[in-house]
Amino acid sequence: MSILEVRDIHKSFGGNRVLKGVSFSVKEGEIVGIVGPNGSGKTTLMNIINGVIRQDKGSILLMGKDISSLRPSGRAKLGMGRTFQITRLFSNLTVLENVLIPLHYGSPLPATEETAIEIIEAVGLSHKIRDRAGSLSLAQRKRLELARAIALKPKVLLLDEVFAGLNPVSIREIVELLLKLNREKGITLILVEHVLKALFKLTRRVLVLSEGRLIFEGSPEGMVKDPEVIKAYLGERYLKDESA
Amino acid sequence: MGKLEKASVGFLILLGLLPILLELLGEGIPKGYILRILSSALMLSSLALAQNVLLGYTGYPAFGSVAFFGIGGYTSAILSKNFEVPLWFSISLGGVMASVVAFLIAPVLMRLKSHYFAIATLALQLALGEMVANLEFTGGTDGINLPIYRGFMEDYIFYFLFLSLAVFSFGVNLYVDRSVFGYALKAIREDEVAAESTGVNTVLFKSYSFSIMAFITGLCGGIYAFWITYIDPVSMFDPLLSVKLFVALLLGGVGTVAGPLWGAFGLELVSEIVWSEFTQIHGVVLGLLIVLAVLFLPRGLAGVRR
Repeated sequence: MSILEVRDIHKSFGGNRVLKGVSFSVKEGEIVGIVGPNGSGKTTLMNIINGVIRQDKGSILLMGKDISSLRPSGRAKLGMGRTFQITRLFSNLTVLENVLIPLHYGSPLPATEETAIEIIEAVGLSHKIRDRAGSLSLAQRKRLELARAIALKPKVLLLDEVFAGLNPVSIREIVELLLKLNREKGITLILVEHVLKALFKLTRRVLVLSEGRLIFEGSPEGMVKDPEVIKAYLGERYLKDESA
Repeated sequence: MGKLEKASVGFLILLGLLPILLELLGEGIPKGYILRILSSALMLSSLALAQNVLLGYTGYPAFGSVAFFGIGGYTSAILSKNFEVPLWFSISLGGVMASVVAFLIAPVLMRLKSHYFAIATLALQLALGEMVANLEFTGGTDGINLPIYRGFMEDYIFYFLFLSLAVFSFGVNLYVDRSVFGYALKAIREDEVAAESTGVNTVLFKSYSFSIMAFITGLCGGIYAFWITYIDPVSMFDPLLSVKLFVALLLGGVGTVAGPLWGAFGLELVSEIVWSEFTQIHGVVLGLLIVLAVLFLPRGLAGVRR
């Protein structure tokens, strides 16, 4: 059964049609990547799935239930976690408090410090528990966002450019962490990503979005050979660089 | 509890014992004057503490919060005058009325943020003032005269009412600062989208926060009405009171439990001195103080130690 179903999503901002009928479905336990050029509507799609923005037309189903009318908080309680392209932490609160908030308000897990500390340890921030979230480095901020999302005990986790701006070491560590979450906790992952190398380590299925439409759906190997994807996103140089 | 908070609790206890001292000292001291100044300071503390729940912990500056001061004051005055509702009960109903109104308008009003929200609440305050001035049952621009309170502890009753309200407001701030409920408000203050995405129903919690502010502010308006015994649209929807409570809050420290209390007492003390020493230019001196406070105490008195 598909855990998440996106049905014919349309969205315009004024006269700018950002999404022109996007549909796809994700199976439980799957890892799906969404790629595409800047301005193709990836983040808008994420925002619609999570409920921050409302679609003009179409619907979102989580475990077969239409969640289109729910606020993001309602979706979070049903098991939808997310991270943001530009991190959105509770900067003046501590790392611990950042994780306690979803535990108290959106999670079936016990809202105790022990649970929070366990989650913080899992993302490798145990040494920062009492620090202000605003004092963290970018890589640490991304880890904390991940911890905050995990605290919801999500069934589906939406990750918006989680690797952007990170060094290779951090990227490798987060890839491993995500794989672990997927394997051990069965969390379905949907990643919007530009860092293709990292993405391809995670996923066997990629969707390509271009000008508000899905132009490709399939394996990473198929994607890099698809002429339309090359034209819209990768560019001729990608092929040369890869073969070189 | 932090040092400043402990000091505040001690200070409030001392204020509670003060009337005993005044009674013991007898006729020689200006009892009425002292009680009047302290009552004003306590009123300002309550207003600043109420605003602190909203601005300090939730991040929404309701510059026109005095709208609820007016609603509370007028509700209790009308109830008492026309329906002979007892003092205690009518003041309480004034607070309830203010918070119900706030809860109903919050989902719409709180779609706005920062300056826009501040201006919208100020518009509400001024519009309500105009409405009250043009309605029959509110007494129009003539206002409402209330009987002078006579009876149980008549010298101290309003002092104790304001003191109780300040203690209550202080307690509410302490609770918000330390509780799970407060986490939701702080999450909204820090980042509303992130708060929603982690399960906090922001519309609901913003409404709670707004109506807590309105409840305290409304109670304050009710007590004020019976204390002054005469209310009119100008005094109950006074923009200068909004300015004053914001100065108290900024001076004391936004988002701290003890700050608003000290800010209010500091401001009341200073403005009392300024009033008596520089009657002609007291506005200028107060303005200067605000500028200095913003320049040198950006986090308020409570932020100095940090």
